[in-house]
Amino acid sequence: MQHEIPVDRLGPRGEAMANAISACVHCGFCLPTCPTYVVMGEEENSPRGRIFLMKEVLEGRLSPDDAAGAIDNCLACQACVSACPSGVEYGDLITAYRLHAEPRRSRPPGERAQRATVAATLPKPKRFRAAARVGMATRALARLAPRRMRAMVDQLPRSLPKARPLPEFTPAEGERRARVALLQGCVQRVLDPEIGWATLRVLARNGVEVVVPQQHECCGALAIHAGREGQAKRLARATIEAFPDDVDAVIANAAGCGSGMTEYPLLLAGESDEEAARAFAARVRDISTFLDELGLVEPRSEPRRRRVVYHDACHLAHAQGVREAPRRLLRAAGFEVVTPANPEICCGSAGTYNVERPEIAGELGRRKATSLLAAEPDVIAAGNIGCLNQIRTHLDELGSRTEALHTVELLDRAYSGEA
Amino acid sequence: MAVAELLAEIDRRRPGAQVLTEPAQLAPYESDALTAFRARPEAVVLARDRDDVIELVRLCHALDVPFVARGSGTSLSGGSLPIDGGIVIALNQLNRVLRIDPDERIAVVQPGTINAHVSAAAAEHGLFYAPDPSSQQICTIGGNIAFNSGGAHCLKHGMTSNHVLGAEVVLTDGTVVRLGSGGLENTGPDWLGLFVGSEGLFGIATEVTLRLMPMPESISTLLAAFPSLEAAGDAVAAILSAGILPVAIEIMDALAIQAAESAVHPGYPQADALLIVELDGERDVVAADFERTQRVIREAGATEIRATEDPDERATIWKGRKSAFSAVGWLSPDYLVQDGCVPRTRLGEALAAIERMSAEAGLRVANVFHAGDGNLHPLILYDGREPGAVERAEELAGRILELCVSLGGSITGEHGVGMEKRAYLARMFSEADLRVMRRLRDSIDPKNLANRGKMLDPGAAPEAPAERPGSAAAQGPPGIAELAEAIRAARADGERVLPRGAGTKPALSSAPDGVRPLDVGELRGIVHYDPEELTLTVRAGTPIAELEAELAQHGQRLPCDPPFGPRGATIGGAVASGLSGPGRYRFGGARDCVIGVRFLDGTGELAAAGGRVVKNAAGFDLPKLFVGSAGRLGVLVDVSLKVLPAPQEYATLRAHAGGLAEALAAVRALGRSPFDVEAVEVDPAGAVWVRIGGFADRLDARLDRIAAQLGLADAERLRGDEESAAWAALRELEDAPAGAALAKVAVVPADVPQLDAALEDTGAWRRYGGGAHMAWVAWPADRPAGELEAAVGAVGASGAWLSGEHGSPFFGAPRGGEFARRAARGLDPDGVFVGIAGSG
Repeated sequence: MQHEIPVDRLGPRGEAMANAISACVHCGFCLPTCPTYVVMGEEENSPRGRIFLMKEVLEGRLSPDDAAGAIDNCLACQACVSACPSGVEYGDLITAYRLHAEPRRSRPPGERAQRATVAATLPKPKRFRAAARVGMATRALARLAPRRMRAMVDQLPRSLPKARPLPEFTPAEGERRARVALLQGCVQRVLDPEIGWATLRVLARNGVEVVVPQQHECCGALAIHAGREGQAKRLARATIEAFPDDVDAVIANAAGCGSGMTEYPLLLAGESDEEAARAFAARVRDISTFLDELGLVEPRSEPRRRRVVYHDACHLAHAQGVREAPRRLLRAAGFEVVTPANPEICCGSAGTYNVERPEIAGELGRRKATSLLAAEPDVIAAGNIGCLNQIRTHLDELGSRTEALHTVELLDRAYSGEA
Repeated sequence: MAVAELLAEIDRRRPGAQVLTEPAQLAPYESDALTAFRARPEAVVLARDRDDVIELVRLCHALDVPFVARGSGTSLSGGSLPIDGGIVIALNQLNRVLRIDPDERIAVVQPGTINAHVSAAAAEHGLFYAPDPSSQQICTIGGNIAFNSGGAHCLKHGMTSNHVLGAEVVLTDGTVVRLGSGGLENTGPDWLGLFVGSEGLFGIATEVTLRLMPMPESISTLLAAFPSLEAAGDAVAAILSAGILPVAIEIMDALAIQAAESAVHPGYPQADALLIVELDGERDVVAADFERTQRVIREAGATEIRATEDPDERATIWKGRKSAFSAVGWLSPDYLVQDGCVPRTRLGEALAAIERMSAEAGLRVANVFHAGDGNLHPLILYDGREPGAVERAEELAGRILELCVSLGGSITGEHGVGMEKRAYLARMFSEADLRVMRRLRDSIDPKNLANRGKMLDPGAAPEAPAERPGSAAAQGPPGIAELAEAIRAARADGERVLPRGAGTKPALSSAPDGVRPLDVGELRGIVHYDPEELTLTVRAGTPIAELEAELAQHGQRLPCDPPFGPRGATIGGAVASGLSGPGRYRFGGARDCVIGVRFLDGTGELAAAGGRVVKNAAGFDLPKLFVGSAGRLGVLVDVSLKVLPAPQEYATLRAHAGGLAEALAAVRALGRSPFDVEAVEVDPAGAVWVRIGGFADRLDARLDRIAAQLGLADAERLRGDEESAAWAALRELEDAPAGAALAKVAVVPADVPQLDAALEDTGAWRRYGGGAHMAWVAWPADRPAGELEAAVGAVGASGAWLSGEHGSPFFGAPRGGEFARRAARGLDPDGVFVGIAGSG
């Protein structure tokens, strides 16, 4: 599409935005795959519409506030990237745009308060744990709280597992085939520490020794996607700093985190450490990609619950193109892997979207849980804590008792004979 | 002002309607897929249901607010560009498939239903919706109707208009009409055919009945690399000459291949030209044709051939082709896509000329085209930031369009005129032709509210050439001038006229008292026939027998198989009466064969519509309208038709199925089967005739399969002369009693049992043809005609008397309503032709 964006006045990320907008030919192939267009129906809530609005804002024809509603509605799921025949890097565009627009737009006080709460608590596991405890204890009162507070409490599980921090070093079992560093994940370690432990066991079983940087708290993906540039850069730099160089890969077992870390070069574009960011991002692997490349040691027994309905997390499938590796791993472990209907449509978790846009997120979560159950799972698998949390919430609402587990947890159970 | 009032009113009458008025909400609607044009609407209203749409249109009419209906906004010609000062009525929320009837093979859908969703919903019944524009993942049925969209597979299956059986339409003053019979046949003018392809100028369809086809049992896809476009083109000609009819034939040039590879990585071979050929249908036929096609392609010089029957591989091949337009975004910051159509035999010439012209313009052009029907899509690549580039690109686009017209083609095969090609409509059509179209529009939408400014308004008109190719021949033989004069004279005298061919359908053509008969018998002769082209143009008064003889010499046939040739019937009369014979079952009736007409209108003016190429989306589809119009909307002078290769040989099963119910069950089963059947007829006693055609050595085996499927193991088999005589007798209704009044009834198969029960004790002879979509009735002279008329009306069917004395020949359920009245007034403002009472 033709544009008149003053690229030189937009800083180092300006070119990424302009290029993405240039590539768009307004064909609309992205519309049927966009969760908000499917649910809401207005053009502004489609990728094609948002690209146009971002163009208008960057050209100075609309203010960031004018476009804010539609842009904030975007889940950044990047299903549109998968569907686009013209190669529009929408992921880069929305990230760069949000970083650009955040200081230039206003938000209502309730929204500001909620975002501040999220930004202050989620990246700090101890604080998040404490806040979650309070939220769960006062859950009944939350009915009376403003909508935004209620939305946050609604996302909390019934009970919070005990804190179980991962050890600094876990040796390989048998012959050592690789050495990696593992990201614990800020929200993940509070809501579901078992995922981290299962990851350690599966890696060890596969001859991989694992270091877990102890002081590291959060990779900053949530801050990047919220457009909080200062916090994002701080957390990104701390992450790059925290992880050792002498590892074969930096492993993420949360799709959102893995994807977020690959955006470090864009975040730090034009900075003195842009190259360091690029080098770091190149070493990031999702646990499923890493194991698939390494070659999975096959479990000795067949799983009892054979039929896995696999949920494609957006930040694995669309943002990183990872679809086949998790499926191959599960099949190698003896599972039957089934894909639900409409796999490309987001579950609605989308980082903190489910607390910022609870109605849309709720609708998407309902639809996702329904399509997962329709595929008749023995068990549901996904590679992201956000998705798992959302899916569990909505399975519960539908009265289902089907378990939703992380892909690596299923592999772990396959090894221990408990699958 | 008016819009503000409208929005206040809509809020009152239809509370809760989603209305967009903020700049950031309206901005994204400024363009559709043709981003060169931008216009901001005053408001966008997202209709929730049909009642929202009707109320909105009524309010627009009351307050003089122009409107644009929009589905997904994927038009490549600017068809859904908003109007300054107007509103957009968004239909994308009316996106449900309401009902599927697998036995009747129909889907009833809302206009905002995504094209691909229709096939998705039909899949569990083993059915699919055939028209497949490349944007089918997002484009909507409503938009497809507005532009008579095609797609790669329309070569064999036809375009949208061949798959729409009925529609509820709201006219621009809010009047709601039902168009179409709901079935494949019709009586009276084809009002629905006129509506499809009218680019939103006539109103908004609020509910649509679509035809579903049985999924083929076999689909084979070939990918072949050629050293040049010319070689690929020659291969296509060779395939068609071998009597093979693929379901799709596509060619992509090197640039397009490169784009597709970059975008979706289909793994295409690197080549100067890529040919994709797909065959679908009956297993045995496809297997043999596939073999033959590969041989032809190899002999034509293909450097690499890949063949597949695997659905995933096939999907990948098509993904590459269907994303080609958007994919050129990888090669160039901007592009213009054109949609010209040329006679297939002149494709090579057209491509060479385009190559020359693009070199002159200093611009790259990627070529993607539907090689089977001559529909080109040159993608002109340019960089809008380069000074003068847009202008050069647009100029080149214009030259390409003129080239297509000069080669006897069309300015648009399927994207429509929209905003983009308004100025070029005058290259293809004369002032007289456009005058007729404008009168039609002005009569149907007097306030010019629906999609104002599209298609007919000239926009910025480039200089018209002094001489339009073919215009010298426009006058033709003296016969036309005389007829024109007769019409003008009648008009001046306040009298009416009725044209007549050979008078084989006297109820339609006998002039009542006070009406002047016009004898068109002098207008004879084939004007243009190129067997390689599979089209011909013939004067309306030409006897069918003469035409068929000529076609037979070249191994070709008229797909609609019109009856009464032996009685001297003319082709113009066949089209005007809308009569098709048993052969219509396979490839369609008269409405599916007529691609162009020249006619004298109610002012005595000679006008043309359609063209000589099969894919033509330029202007209103008057050729379809004239089918069944029985000389009451105009006098046909020339008709252009599609023709097809005749099968090598035919074979027939003749069986007795017990009774009518069993016979109809057999027809239904056939309709859902993968067999390529030429014709199916049944009679009330349960006799069933099934005809197939093709290569002689396989006919017996194919009949075996059909007989087994239908449980007709004891069926008689007919071949050779006995076989053709049987079908000639069927076509000519030889077993209908003499002295009875003949009528054609258009009915949907589900209603046949009830209709037949009503006729059982009347002594009327009847037979059900075209897969039970039409009934031939010979009504006893001693029974009141009203009895048949009532019986037909009672099942919601419509009919036309062909012989006997009748006030008006049309009866049964009214068709067309207010739309028909306005359209007729547009074509015949002073009522020079006999009215169509009873048909509208």
